[in-house]
Amino acid sequence: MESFQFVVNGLMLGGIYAIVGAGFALVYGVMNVLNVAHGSFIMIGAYLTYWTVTLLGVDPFVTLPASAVALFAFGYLVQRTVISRVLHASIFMTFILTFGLDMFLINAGLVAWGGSYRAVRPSYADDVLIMGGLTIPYVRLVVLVAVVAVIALLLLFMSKTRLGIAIKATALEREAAQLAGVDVKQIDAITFGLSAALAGVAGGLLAVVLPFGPFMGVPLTGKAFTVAVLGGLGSMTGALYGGFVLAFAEIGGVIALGGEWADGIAFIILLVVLVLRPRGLLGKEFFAEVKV
Amino acid sequence: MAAMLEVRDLTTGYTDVPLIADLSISLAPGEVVALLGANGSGKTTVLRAIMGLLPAWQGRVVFDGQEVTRRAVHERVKAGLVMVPAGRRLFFGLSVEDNLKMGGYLTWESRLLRERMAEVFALFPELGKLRTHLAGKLSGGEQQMVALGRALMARPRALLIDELSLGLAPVVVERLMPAVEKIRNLFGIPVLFVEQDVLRAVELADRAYVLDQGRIAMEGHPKQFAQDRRLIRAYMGV
Repeated sequence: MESFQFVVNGLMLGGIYAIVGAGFALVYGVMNVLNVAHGSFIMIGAYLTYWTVTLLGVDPFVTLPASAVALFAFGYLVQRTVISRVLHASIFMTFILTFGLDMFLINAGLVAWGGSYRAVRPSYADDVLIMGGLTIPYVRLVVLVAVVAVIALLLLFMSKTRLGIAIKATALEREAAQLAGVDVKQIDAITFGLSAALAGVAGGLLAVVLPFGPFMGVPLTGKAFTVAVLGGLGSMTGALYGGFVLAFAEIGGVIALGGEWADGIAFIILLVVLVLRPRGLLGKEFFAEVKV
Repeated sequence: MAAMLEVRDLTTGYTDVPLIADLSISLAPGEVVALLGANGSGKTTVLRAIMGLLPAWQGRVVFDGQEVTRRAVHERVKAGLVMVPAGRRLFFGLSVEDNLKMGGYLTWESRLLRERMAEVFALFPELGKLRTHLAGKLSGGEQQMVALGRALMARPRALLIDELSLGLAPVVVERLMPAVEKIRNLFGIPVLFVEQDVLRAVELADRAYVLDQGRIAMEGHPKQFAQDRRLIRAYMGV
C-alpha cells in the first residue's frame, strides 16, 4: 500500500519535474541561456489555471491547453524583446538578465495577487478511486494522465515534426542549421515560447496538487536546473529522465530523513552530480556537450 | 554568359582587421571553380561571407541577378545558394535520415523529401543502409557524403563546398572527389570549392582563383598554376 503510494506520487511529481526540466534544458541547448526566471513561468501558469477555474468555473485540466498557448506567446515575446539582446554576451549577462526578469515577475505577482497561498480545488478534489484495496486520490490520477500525455506529445513533436527536428538541429549545430535554411532567431524565440508553455502546464498541474503563491517558482528553478544537470545540460530527453530520478530521490529522502529535507535533496544531488559527473548521468549522446 | 554568382570588391573580417579585402570573384552557370590558397589566406572567410555567416563590410554579393549582400543566411539558402561547411558540421545527434531531411527544411514536403533522398542514396549507395544511424557515429567519409547529401536536399542552384578532403584519408577523398563532378553533371549546377590540395583541384576545376592574404593573387586554369612557381610560393607559403 505504502509502496504503491510512493510509486504514484513519484511518477506524478517526476512527470511534473520532467516537464519543467525539459523546457529548461531546451532553452539551454538551443541558446546557451540558463533561464533563472523559469520558475516564474511556472508560477504564472499556476495563477492562470487558478483564475480561469475561479472566474469561469471550468475544470482545471481544461485550462491547460489555453495556458500553454498564453505562456508560449509570452515566452516568445520575452525572447524576442529581451533575451535576444544578451545571446552574444557572456553567460553572466544572461544570468543577470533572467534574474532581473524573475524578480520582476515575482513582484508583479505579489502586486497583482497578493502574497497569500491559494489552491485550485475542483469539485472532485476529495474523491478517491478504490482499486483492489488501494486508494488513489482521483486528482492525482488525472495529473498523472496529463503528465504522460504532455511528455508523449513533446517527444512526438520533437522527433517527428519539421519544427521539432529543426529545434534539435539548431541546438546541435547552429550554423549548419542556418545553412540548411533555418531562421535560427525564429527558432530561439519558438524554443523559449515552448519552454514557457511547458512551464505553464507544469504550473497548472502543480496548482491542483499543492498550495502556491508568487514565490512558488524559486525552488522550482533550482529543481529545473538539477533535473537538467542530471540529464546532461542541454539534453531534453535526459531532463525527462532526470525529472523522475529527482522526484523519487526526493520522496524517498523525505520518507527516510524527514520532511525538512524535501528541498535540500535536489541541491545535494546537484552538487554530487556536478562534482562527480558534470556531463550528467543520463545525457543523450551529442546533445549534452558543454558549450563555453 | 551572365554570372550565377558575382562577388564584387568584398571586404570583411572578424575583428577590425579585414581578412579579405576588395575581393572579386565570379561563378558562371555550370562552372566548377576552385578557390586555392595557403592556410589562413581567407578561403573559408570568402565562402562564409558569400553565405552571409559573416556580414560584408564593403562590396556586394549578387546571386542570379539579385543582390543578397544584406540578406540573412536562410534567405540566401532559399534563393538557392547552398554551402557544405568545412568539417562537415553534421547534426551528430540526429539520424542520417533526419540530417538529410534538415537539408530539405525549406520545402519539407514528404513526397519531395523522399524523391530527393532517393537521389542522394543513388549518388552514395552506402548511405542507404545507414539511414537510421546517428550521424555522429559514422566514419569521416560517410559523414562527408551526408554533408554533401544534405546540401543537395536543398535543391541548390549553386553549391559552395569548403574543404571536402579535410581530415579524410586519401582513399576516401579519391572516392568523394568524383561526386563533385557527378553533382555538376547530374544537377547542372555550378560549384565553387575551397581546396588545400592543388593537384586534386586541378583534376576537377574549370577555373581557379589563388588567394593570398585575403586578396586574389591569380586567376586562370588550374593547370597553369600547377606549373607556376608563383603559385607554389603563394600556395605553400614558402
